[in-house]
Amino acid sequence: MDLLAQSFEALYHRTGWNFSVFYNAWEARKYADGIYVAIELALWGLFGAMLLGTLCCFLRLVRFAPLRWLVTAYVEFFRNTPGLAQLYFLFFGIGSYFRLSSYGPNGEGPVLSPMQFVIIALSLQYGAFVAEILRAGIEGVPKTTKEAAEALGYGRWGALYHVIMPLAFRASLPALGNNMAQIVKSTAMAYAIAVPEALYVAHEIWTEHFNVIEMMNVVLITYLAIMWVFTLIVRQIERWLYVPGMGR
Amino acid sequence: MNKLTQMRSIVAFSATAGFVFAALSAQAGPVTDKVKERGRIAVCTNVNNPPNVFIDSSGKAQGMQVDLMNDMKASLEGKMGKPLEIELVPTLPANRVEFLDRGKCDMIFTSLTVTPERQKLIQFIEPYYYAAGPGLQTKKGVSLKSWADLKGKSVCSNQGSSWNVPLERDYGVKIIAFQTQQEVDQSLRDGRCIGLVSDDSYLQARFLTDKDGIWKDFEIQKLPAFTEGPWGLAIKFGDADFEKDLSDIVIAWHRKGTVIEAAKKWGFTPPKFSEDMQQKYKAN
Repeated sequence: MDLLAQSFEALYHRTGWNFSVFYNAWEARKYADGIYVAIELALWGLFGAMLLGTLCCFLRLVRFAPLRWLVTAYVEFFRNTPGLAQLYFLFFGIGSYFRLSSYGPNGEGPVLSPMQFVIIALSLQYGAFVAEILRAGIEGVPKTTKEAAEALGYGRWGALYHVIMPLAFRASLPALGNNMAQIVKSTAMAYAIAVPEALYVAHEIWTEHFNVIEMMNVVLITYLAIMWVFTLIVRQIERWLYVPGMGR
Repeated sequence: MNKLTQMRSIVAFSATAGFVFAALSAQAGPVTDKVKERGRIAVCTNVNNPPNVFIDSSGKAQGMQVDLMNDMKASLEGKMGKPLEIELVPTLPANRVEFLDRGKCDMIFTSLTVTPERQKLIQFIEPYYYAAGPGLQTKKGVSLKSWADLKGKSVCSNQGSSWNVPLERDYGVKIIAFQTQQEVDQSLRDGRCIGLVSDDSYLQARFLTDKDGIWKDFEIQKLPAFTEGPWGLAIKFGDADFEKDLSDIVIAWHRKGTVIEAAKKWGFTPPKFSEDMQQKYKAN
């Protein structure tokens, strides 16, 4: 590690390319924390979106119409407005109005930290997409299969749980993988409300050294690396859930 | 400077550098001659920057920097032996360097912090004339003795502010940085942080001109500055006479305490820099 740091410092003195994040210990630690925050945001966002999306998908199947309308309204709203605008609305709109992230008069901590705002924003926005993806998956299950399940004596919810959902989920996996990629990339918008993720820390570093070009490269490669790991995990899940003969 | 650094600078500053070269080749004669001939000196400044520079209700420019400009005018008149007139060219932080490069004004006289980047583009007059350190604005009733008291506390700031890193690294402050000043202000009002950090002179100016009382529940903490960024007058490269004249004027200001007087007159607390400069030039 020391050798690596020294070679990057030497690179700076020799060529002027300043990758300060690799040899300045304080910046390296800050940036590592930034990557950790980005991954944490992505995982929580992913979890929240899946939970919310699945819930909405089921609520759309109930017979009580107003509930279905409510879910449709939610999905349409969050699917058709920009994520950054939603985040600002939550943080500076709702958050300011209800004083959700204010410190109390005696220094009590806020109800929600900026990081939790981002997790909520990511869950809400991408939950709407998950709901749509799962709906498409359910609709993609052939009518004959549904009829076969009925013929076997499954009830409405039994058929859904034992036959339709397992197939629908497998069919939805590629689209869910894409959605996950969007979530990972969208963690960068946390930068706008001062959550110290990778991009925010990079900005702090290039303010100090004016090494924008170098840090921009480091940031992009960081996200590529995170995405690569996440993609491998999704592929693994697809392999586990593989059903011979499905999709032919 | 080696080859690669040069290449990088060329890429990064090609547009601005283009202006510099064009301007240099177009005007061979020194700015001094031009000013003398016209009997007028064009000054790029932010005219909406009270109480540094602002236009009063009668349309006249007023403020601390205007007082200094008038003093500068008197000195230049003495050197050139003819009456001069000051023409204010209104600029914004984003365009003032370009205006100077294009010859729309003869000098920049505003709250212009000296940075290594800017030193590559324009000629700063040394010594620098003023300085500003970080200031902390909090709700009234918050009692702090030093920056060290902020350890572990949340402080709002601007993204890109040069105070962020020293505060985080050396004082353990939790910096919450937003993109615009409005967001920083809103966050302080919402209580997302116990204070906001910004240029001390900017905060002083904001309180001095707060006629509507929007900051009446807030105050600036009197903390000893841990660092100050100097402000410089600036001209185009390539006029040694003009540079020397202005440098003499700034030295005289520091010796006589002109800047300290002007600052106090307009309600500013002069920075430590001003006292240091007075000590330095008094001795000579």
